[in-house]
Amino acid sequence: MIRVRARWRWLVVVGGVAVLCCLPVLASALPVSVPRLTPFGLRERILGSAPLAYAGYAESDATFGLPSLEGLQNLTDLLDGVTRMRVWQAAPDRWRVDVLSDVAERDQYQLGGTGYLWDSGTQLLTRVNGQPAVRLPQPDDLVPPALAIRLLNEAGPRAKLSLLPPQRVAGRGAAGLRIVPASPASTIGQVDIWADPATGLPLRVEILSRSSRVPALETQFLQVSPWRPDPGVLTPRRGPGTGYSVTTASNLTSVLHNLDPEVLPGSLAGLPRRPSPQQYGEVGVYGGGLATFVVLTFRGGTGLTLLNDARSAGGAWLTDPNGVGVLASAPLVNLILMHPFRSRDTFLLAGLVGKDTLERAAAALAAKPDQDNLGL
Amino acid sequence: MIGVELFKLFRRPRTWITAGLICALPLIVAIFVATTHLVPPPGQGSAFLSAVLQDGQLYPAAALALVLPVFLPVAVAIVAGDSIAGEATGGTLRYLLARPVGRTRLLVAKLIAVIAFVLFAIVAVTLTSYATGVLILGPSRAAAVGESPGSGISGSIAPGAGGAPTAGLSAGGAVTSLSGAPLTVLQLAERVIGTVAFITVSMLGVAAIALFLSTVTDSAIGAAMGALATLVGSEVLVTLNAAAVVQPYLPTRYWLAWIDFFRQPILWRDIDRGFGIQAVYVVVFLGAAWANFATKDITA
Repeated sequence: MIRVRARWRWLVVVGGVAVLCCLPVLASALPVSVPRLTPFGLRERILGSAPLAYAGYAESDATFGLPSLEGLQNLTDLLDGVTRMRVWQAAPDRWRVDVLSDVAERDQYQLGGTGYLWDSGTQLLTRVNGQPAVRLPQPDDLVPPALAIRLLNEAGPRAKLSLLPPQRVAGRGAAGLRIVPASPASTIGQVDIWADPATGLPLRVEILSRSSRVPALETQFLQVSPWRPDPGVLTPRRGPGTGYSVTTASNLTSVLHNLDPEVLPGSLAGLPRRPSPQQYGEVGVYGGGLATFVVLTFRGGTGLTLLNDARSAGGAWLTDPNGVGVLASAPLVNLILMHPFRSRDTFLLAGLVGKDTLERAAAALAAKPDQDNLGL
Repeated sequence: MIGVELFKLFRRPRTWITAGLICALPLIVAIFVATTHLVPPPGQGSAFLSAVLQDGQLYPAAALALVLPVFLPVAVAIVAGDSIAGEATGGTLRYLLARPVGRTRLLVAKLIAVIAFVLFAIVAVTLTSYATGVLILGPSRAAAVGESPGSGISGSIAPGAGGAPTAGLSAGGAVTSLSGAPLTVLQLAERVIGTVAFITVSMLGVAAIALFLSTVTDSAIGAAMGALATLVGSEVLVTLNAAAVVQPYLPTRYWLAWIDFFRQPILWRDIDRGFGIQAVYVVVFLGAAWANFATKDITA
């Protein structure tokens, strides 16, 4: 009798454990159904979701494999590893993104033309006046809606679109869209986006390189919902003992200061030069859409320091009759630092183009005569 | 029965010595910090330790972060592991059950005694560290309202008349949240209570594992070591990328989520999950303890 009771009790416990273990599997196995949409219909719906107000929690996982360069530590942290983000958006120009770590957070606010940065590490709130014409990638770029809309716009109308099987993302059925870049020069093999079929709000984005079946960048909401904008959340507030400073947006792009005003060619590696960003005439932008790279010209000491950093970080030497260079190759981004023998300058070339394209561009820059544009 | 178990627990010098040792660690750390004024850089080291020189009222949060990883789980595992196995080792379990006392009732009484110990230890750490923080590290050093921005005054950034945001000043709170916003004394108290509740529930997961093992073996130390081995294994897997699939279900995965009480607004996601996963561990291991103990042959 006692043995029967013991068996019955254990049966209850083991049965309960089995049910608990099966729940996550059953939840993920539930079929996902979404309304029928065409690829172009879904694209338009995603692009139309930009003004939506939402709040959520997202995580990005990036493996760009960039070398750790001086002055670009925040960038390499962002593009290599997991970034945990809390997001609130009232409108495209009114939002807040918190980057969370176990014991700290860095928050970014955008209130119209003014931004604020809060760093719990330094206990400093910084007001940023204006918006820079050019800037490095920052955490808000990795929020699924922002990234998806940017990629769709950059891909342009010539990109090949197709539908993907729906997935469950953040507890919602999401319709999938695959984008294959039109340009063969791009390192991006495909971009997969899953979006809420009703609102078009992108919930998950994966970017795959041409050479790998594993996403180089994956970002998704783990929790998201429509949000009734609350000024209390979007307005930065300072507690006791915190500091406050004011800066201009251009100060934050210090890495682009003191560039050499080198005259850059009208095209490199067969890709035409595009107009430089306003106030940054020294920055050369080549190609277009998802096959773009930039050229920056650094003066003597700075350039050589970057060259040595890239070499120390595992970059490969480039052999060229007209200069010495280092190539840092990652699945999505390639980077070359080229120091011509006949000049004190060093060219930094980086972008979403294959390393062959970038090497040809670097060789052309090493071979060209040193010529500064004194009118810049 | 419950009263008897609680009386036994709090009559034992061991209970008071254990709680005293748990409270002593934050006190020692506070003395070192107060005398040397050396703390980890903000965002590094133990949570909130960098902020306690600025505001001693935050010291309960820092103290809980200090004792949570090792001291508290060890103490809970020892007490819970001793619950049944300790009686068996001492030869008193047979006599205890010879009284007209059901085994399930005894198990519930033991569980409530363990819960009482967990709550007692955590509240003791919180109260003693608050006193330590205010007396040794000092109260908030917030600047007075009226100072210029940049000098440490609390305030808000409100949109100005022309739509351009201007720096406006408002009365500050007691402490600064991780998000920079001030927290009032009431908000701070609410969040500390939330933290105590969260850590208590987290420790109940440890207690449930140890209590189950305590019904399996007659060795109290064996039961405690078994529970601690489970926690160490969980901690190893939490840091292993290859184990990402099982991480959400590990007992220690959300232990640090109480820090999210100190963000503004509170980030409930991991806190909710932390409560949920501990509830599952408590139900499963108490169920297993009940299934095993209720029909076990008692020989000691």
